[in-house]
Amino acid sequence: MTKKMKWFGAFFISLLVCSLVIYQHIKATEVNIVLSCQNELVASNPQTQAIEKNVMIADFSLQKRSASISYRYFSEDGEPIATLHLKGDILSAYKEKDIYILNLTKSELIRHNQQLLLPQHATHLQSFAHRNIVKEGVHNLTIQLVKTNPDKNLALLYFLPSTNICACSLISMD
Amino acid sequence: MRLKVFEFDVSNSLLINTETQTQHHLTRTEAQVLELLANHPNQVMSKGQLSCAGSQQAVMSESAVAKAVFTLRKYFGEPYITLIETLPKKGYRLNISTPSPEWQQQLARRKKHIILASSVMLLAVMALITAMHQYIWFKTAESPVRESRVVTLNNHQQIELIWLQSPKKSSQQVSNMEQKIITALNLCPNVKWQDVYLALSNDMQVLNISMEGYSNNGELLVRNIKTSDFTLRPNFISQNWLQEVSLCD
Repeated sequence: MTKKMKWFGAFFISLLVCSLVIYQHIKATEVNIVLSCQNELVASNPQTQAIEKNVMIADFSLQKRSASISYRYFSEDGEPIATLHLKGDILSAYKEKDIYILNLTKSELIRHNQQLLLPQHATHLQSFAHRNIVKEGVHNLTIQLVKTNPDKNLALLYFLPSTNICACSLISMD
Repeated sequence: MRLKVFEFDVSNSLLINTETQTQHHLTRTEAQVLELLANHPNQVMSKGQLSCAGSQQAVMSESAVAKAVFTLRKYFGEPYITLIETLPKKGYRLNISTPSPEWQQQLARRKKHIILASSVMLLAVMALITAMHQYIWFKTAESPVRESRVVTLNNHQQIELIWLQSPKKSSQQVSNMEQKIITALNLCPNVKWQDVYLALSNDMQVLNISMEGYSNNGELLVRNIKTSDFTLRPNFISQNWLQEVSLCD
């Protein structure tokens, strides 16, 4: 084998390895997960000590490399109050470990009924996400699927850095 | 004008191969480029110089020069393709005589350097990509479960209390919260829950309770309760809370 051939071989193998690594990286960060989680929000009124109850449905949609979360808030009797939309992209997807790091860059709160008081959860989440986006340009959120039961379409989610949890129905997952 | 086996008729812009007797009519650009190269044999002419075609200002673009060279090489054919030699980042040279051995050595050395530099760069890029993937390939995921224990209720039913990683409250506070939940569940005639997941939010102002169990007909039941208390000393589970939020179903 000539020297030229050896160089060409080495270059070709390196190029092949590089292409495989890049391909793996692109495929690894492409996901398809849709989750819906229903939560009961309970808060005690600081003045009256009365218990305020609301319902929040969180819809998570991770498609290819984009991420979208909608927090829909309802009164206890099902009246829509507001929706908080968070949008961005998937920074990293560690599929084997079920960890997804999201870069959320847009937040929008839509009020459906001005008469109804915004739940404390919505106020807190909106101000936190908005502050991060304004200050840092991004609101980071890591989602870890602690437990999945595909037969029952169930997934237990763990969120970082908030350290919240949520049992959700798994609508689709590839 | 003689260029090896080719005859270049400058006045008629004709390039004749004297071996095959084929002739090509050159465009104005091709003729200007070849004329300038032929007037400076074995000299490196930059694209800028060629684009001026002997005048003070550029009369054609550098891409037009490259296109002209490409066409001229096509006219020369495979055996004489090196008649116009490309010197990277320098320009072109009309290769009438055989390059000197020193020049060939220099060229070989330069090629070697380029290959070496490219290989080093390639290796560096590969190392960088591999480093990016170290978290995917080598680091194992840590389970967010901090502690779990099985609790037997008064009706001998067993449930598992699982705490997920969250800011550590004092063991007294944790024990109090657990005790309140167990007391509430003990008041239920029949508890459907099997696993009770607990986590405090990072700011310690939201207590998350996620419960999983099965109904009598085997249907999966799930319940998520998020209790917020934005006071300085949050007391998530009060008597009032237990009355309002029944944990039985």
